[in-house]
Amino acid sequence: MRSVTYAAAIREALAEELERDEQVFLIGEDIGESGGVFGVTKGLIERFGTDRVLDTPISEEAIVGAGVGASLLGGRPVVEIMFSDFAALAMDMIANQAAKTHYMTGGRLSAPLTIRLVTGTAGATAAQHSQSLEAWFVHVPGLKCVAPSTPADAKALLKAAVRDPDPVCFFEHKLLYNRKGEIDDEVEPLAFGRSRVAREGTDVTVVAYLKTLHDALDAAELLESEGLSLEVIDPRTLVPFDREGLRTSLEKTGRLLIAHEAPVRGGFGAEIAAIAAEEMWETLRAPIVRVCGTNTPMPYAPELEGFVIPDATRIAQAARSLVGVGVA
Amino acid sequence: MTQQRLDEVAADVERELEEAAAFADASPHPAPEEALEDVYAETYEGAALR
Repeated sequence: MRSVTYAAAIREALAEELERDEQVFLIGEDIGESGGVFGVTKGLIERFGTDRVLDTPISEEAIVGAGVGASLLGGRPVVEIMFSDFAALAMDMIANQAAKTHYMTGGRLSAPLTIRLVTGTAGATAAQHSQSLEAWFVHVPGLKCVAPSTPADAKALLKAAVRDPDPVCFFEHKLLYNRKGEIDDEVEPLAFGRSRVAREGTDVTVVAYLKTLHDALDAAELLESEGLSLEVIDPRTLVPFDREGLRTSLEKTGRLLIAHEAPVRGGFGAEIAAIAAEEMWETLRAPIVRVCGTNTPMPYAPELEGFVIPDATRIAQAARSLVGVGVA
Repeated sequence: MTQQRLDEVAADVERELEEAAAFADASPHPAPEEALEDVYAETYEGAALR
């Protein structure tokens, strides 16, 4: 076992996939000579050359479009969108081309590209560089959506994404890049659709991902001394979503709290809540609660940013209320 | 490219389209549940992609 950062784990996955398959290449803004704005691809252009690590002009549509075209011809592109906010400029390529190729060709073709989407706030990165837009992509049939919370999962899931025959949106939270975690010396791809129990508990199931998963774990730690036990579930992939993992936890706790940084309205938490309500109603003994971002753009001022996104304190308070403790 | 070659390409395209249309006309209509197929090239046991 080794301790590496989330960014280093992603870099290792990219390097190992570039090494394994000559059809794999990276394409994006500033990913080559500068090593990426967050340093994730640092050193890869020196190791694999400019034919495999391609710097591009600032045109998200062209970057993703080139990736889609290459994937249709046998390539395995890994596209980087430096800030997921600007995936908006590439949505036709993602949602209308990559996502629908397999369906519209009756299964004859597919577009196996990985789109790395740098997401969430980095701390005062404001309204156009901080969004958590995973729900946009979850909504599009044909896309798979991955949201790793730890270095080990980031490496294993990125390797799986590169090898997957479908287009995969791979979300990376900026505030996780420097977070360290233990990973095995050899990491194999991790199949999609398998959630992880990040912490076992008995009173409330908390589903969270990316940075918010760590806030949920902090909340669980906080509440332990109060005698309240949270079970924290990391879904790891949003599409496919591990329904059985959720059911197993709800059969134990009977209470569901969902937390994410994205605005609450139409967020992925609504989908999880609907799955639980429609398919697992008999397990629930309390209303489902969401602790999510407010329905506002991300403000720049740190004091305001802290107000609009969830943290451990807010998750803990919601969990207390859910079990009838600390209700005003 | 010569005009003769351009005409050949156009004729090939026309023939391919006619053959495809004839194939479609001769084929049975798809069952409704076929609408749910080919959304993904790979699925995962125990994790429904729906």
